[in-house]
Amino acid sequence: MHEFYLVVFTLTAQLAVGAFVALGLVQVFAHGAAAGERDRVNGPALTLAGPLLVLGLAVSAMHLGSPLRAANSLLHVGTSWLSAEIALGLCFLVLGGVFAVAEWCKWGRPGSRTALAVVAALSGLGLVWAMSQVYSLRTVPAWATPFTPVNFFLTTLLLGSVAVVASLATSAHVTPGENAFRDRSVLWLSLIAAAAAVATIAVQPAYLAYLTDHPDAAAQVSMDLLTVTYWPALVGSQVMLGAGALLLLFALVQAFAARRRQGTALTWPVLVATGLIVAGELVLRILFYATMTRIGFGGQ
Amino acid sequence: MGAYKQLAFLFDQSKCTGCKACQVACKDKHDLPVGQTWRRVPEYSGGQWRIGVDGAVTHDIWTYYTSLSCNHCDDPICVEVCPSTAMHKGENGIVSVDPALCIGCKYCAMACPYDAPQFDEATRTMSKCDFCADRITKGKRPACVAACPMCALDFGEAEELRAKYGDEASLEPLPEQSVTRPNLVILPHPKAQPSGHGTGHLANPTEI
Amino acid sequence: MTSTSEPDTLSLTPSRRKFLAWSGAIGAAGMVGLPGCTLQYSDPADAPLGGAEEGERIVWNACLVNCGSRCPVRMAVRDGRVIRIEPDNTGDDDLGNQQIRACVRGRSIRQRMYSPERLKKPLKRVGKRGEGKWEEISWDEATTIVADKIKELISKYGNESIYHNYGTGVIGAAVARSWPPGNTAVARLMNCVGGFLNHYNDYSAGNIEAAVDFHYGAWMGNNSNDDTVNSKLVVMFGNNPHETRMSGGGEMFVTQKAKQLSGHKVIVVDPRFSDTAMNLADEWVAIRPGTDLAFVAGMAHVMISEGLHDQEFLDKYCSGFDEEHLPENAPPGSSYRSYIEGKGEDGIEKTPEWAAKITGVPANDIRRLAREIAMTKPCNINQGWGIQRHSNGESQARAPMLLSNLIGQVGIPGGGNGEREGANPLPLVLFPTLENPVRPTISFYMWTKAITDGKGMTYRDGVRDSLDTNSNSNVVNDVVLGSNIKMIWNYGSNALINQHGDINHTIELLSDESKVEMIVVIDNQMTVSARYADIVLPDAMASGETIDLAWQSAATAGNLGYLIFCDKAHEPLYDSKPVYEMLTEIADKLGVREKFTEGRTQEDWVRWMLDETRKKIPDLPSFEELRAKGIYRQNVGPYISMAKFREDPVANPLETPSGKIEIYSSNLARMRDDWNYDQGSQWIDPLPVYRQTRELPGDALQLRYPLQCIGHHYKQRTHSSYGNSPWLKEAHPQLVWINKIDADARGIATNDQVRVFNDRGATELPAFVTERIAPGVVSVPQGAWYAPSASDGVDKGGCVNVLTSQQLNAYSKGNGQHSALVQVEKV
Repeated sequence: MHEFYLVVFTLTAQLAVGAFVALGLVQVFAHGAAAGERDRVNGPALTLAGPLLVLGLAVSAMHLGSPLRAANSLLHVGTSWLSAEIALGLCFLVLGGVFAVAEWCKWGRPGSRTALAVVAALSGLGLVWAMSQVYSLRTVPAWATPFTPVNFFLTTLLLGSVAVVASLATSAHVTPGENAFRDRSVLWLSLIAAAAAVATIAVQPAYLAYLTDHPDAAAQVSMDLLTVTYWPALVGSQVMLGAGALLLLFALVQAFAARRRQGTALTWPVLVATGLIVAGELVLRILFYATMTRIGFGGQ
Repeated sequence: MGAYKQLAFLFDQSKCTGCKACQVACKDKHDLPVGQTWRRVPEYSGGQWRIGVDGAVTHDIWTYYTSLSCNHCDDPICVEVCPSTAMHKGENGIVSVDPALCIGCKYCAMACPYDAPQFDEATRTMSKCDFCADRITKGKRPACVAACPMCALDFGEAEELRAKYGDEASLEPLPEQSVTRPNLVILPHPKAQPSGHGTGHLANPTEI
Repeated sequence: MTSTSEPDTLSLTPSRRKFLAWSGAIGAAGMVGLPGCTLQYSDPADAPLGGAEEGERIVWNACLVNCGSRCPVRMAVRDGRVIRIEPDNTGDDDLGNQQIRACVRGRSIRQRMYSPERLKKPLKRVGKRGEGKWEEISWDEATTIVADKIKELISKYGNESIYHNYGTGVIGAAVARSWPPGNTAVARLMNCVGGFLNHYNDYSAGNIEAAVDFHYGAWMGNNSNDDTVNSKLVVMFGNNPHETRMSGGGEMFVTQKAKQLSGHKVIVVDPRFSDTAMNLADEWVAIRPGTDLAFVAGMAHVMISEGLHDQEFLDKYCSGFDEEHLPENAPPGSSYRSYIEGKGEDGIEKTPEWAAKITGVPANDIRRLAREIAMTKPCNINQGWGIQRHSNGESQARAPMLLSNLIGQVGIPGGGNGEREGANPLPLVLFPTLENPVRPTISFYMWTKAITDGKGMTYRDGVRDSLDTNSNSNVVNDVVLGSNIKMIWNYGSNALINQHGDINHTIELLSDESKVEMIVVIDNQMTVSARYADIVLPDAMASGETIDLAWQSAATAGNLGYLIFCDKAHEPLYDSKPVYEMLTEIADKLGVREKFTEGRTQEDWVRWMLDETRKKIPDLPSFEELRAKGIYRQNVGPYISMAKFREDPVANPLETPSGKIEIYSSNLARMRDDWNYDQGSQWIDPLPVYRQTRELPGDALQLRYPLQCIGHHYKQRTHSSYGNSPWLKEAHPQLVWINKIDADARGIATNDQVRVFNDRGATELPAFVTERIAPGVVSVPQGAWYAPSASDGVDKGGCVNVLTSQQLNAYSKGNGQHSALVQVEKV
């Protein structure tokens, strides 16, 4: 799988953006939360998101033939979506990093820090959009469709929320104690994640219909790869996503049934769900590259 | 400013036997290793066999070859997507790679529907047919053109070639020419099929 | 004006040609397109020694392999190394003056010159033959060993015990040529010490060479291919110049150009949809290998029953067509007409239905083609070497000849006599090789038998008289082979192992060192055959490391003849020596140095040859001029074969007993009852009749090995030359061609590793599942290097000759290497 570097990079980058945005969303619900509670939410999440993004960028650099010249990739921002993607990626990394440090060290006023976070989040979302446009090549019917940005943003939302949920559940396990803000965050983010997982599954048939109706033979080849050659992977990914979503909901129900019960009972279903969802997304992303077919020779 | 506004290849598909003298001449001139092939010759075949009751067979078999390097397109998707501007369209309309700028991300290879950009293991950058730019500036022909034993390859000013020989490049297994507007003029083989309406298949996908 | 109308042929005016060029853009069937090299034949700044970049010099040279063509390769030399090949830049696209561009193989010649498999030093075998264990020795020691052995064998067994094997690895040069065997430097050396056992005919055409002597009296050649501009129809049997003769100056160009100029129709008869078929054919007749004679018989039936045959021609020029024109001692019912009408020996009428069952060609097609061929004139019927390389090859070779006789097209422009294309020769004087006093000569394919049973072999076994090797002169002779073969000279040859049939059998035979006591290999690569040598002498590359002359004359470039100066790019690499030099050292040890060299170096001989040739070709340039110019060209005009015979058969009789074309050969009738051959499964027939000989369709062996296996001649190599070029292996991978129907039945997809096997051996290689070969037929392209794996001994190189037979054909004593039945399985 020679595109494995790109699989890892796109997933980790989208996860990082999603986690950052998820945290931002959560702040919206954060009125009345104690500062300490908030820190115990932001801390773990940011600790996860930041390094992951750095890892993702490093992995993508390994994909390059000449990584030492990587800076050249910023020279074509106006025209090349890849150039724009890298620029936005660096923006997000820097702004998000500064924000994290600022939060940690309490630099500046909360308002300014929030503004910084918003700008960072927007550049992150811009990054995801740019990634989707990188793949929307007019020579690749399987990719040149609105389904690509739809799937990328769904991944962002799904992996981001579930990653934050997982890190919060883990931190709750490691440092138990009452944290209503954390509980509310977990609740809402789990619901969002479950919804995103269901949406991802729901989108598949529509995408297959798009491939089937596409006039170019290359689309049909992609279709055959997805539904004939690699159907176990396709089906497996849907099953994993669905199971992950169900497990998350189950965990939520458990948590509410036990009222304020903390600890391991909540942790393991959440972590398993996260594992299933990450695995499902990984398989889907591998399929994304594996079924790439160019017009012309690819369509034979 | 070069001697040409836009260089183009002229290819007589009705003469090509798929011998690949063009491919090997290019490799010989540029010292390309196995695995890095700037000019390739896809074969497109079709037709069926029918075996009769007495064992006698009937058929409508056909096949043809297309010699292809880089088409130095008017709308080169490789140039558009390159993040470092290493891939650029320059003198004589030639699209080529600046190895000092190239980071080897292979995005151009991902985009190009003719499989023209190839990764060079030695320099860790992309490489492809550059229309033998060094020979062109000296008034010489590209190595492939000079090599073809059937004289099926030629080259010249794109406009002139089109005026004389037409503007056909949308033949299977190539993609529709409106996508990147290749500077390639093909004289079709009698069995050639239009892009996207083929009834055959690519016979040698591992050689492209 | 439609583009299918007949343009003037050779008198094409420029404006007419331009029209054809433009109408090509509208695309009529097959004949149009680029009228050759219109825009530029050569670079404006490119004089013959030009094309050089700064710091380079260009030398002329030639590619010297057995491809039936001969291309200049100009070598760009920098710092003492060839860094680039440039093609011919003289000539244009006119027939008779065409640019001779090197094919895909010659373009990779640097990969032969600088191959890691180049032989570097003389080697002496240690260990068993074929083990590949060597001791590097000095030239002095090597030449002493060889000279001493020659002396020993001559005194013990006579000169007849020393055999010159067939080898065409370096062919078409004047001094350094490995073929014909009687004209090599090795021959000259042996002729200085009493001669050697020579062979007649060759792996390419051994069956037609024997058969044509009986049909036409001697080798005639067909009309040259440029003459087909005068044909309305060309029918090619097993002839594939677009893959075998791929020179830009050779038959690939000539046939394509002739069709373009004339718009004639082409029918290709071949088990494969070859590149000649895809490029030239208006119709491809897919035929089972080895059954062309049945196809012709079916067509003959139609022609005879509908009165379409040329009775006048047959009466005047042929013997044996009908009962009224049989030779004296031929019994009634032995005419060809009787054979066709079912009134002959077998009583079977050769209807199209009868032919369809054997050939796989539908009966209605046979009818339609018979009518078309009979009624479209002028018609050139020709053949390549494919149809005659079968177990019934002698008669097969006569099929196209017979067809051309039936339609009376022999000896006229635009017609043909059914042989392979011929040409007018240039009167060249080449390297003289003295006289070989040894009388017996064996067929090229007999040497393995002559190792064990040579002594006492007579004409009945295929021993001919070297004074006159014509088949007619050897129906009976008084020559007896006096010795088994004890020593083999293997110069530029891979026929010791790789190219001879039944490799496993040969290996076993050669493993007994008491039989053949000395095998000397002269080559520049460590080939498969070189691995089985006792002494290996590293040859310099005649392309690039010596001074020599290369030439194209008499066939394979249409009406173009030429001479190429082979200049030195650099000194011979490593410790290799030009063959002339190494043999001079052996001559020295044999005490015949002066006789061998006549005081001349190789360069002296080249100058001498040019001087002698200039007596016959006055405008031939001097040595220095030719070196500077690189090539001397001459339009030798079209060759109309047997024109004089056609003009006046009485004044210009053929060398047959009757003086006429012998459809019934009285000599073959004599041999039928006298010669030694396998009378259960082989026949000697005076008529060209179809026989189901070894491993042809219908053989009971098909119950175990249902598929016919041929070995087509492939673009990756010239036989086995260039077989170790990485670029060529990449461009044209070695694959077994198998029809989709047969592949699907075996669960085989393209690039699956498969095993092709029969009782003689097995080979494993990837498959190419294609529509381009007839169902029931597979092809393992011949010439791939035999590579038995260390683990299980099975060949992994895809070498077809592990599957082919060593059986000698009935009277040619030649090779039926395309007659092999196999099974194919996924590995």
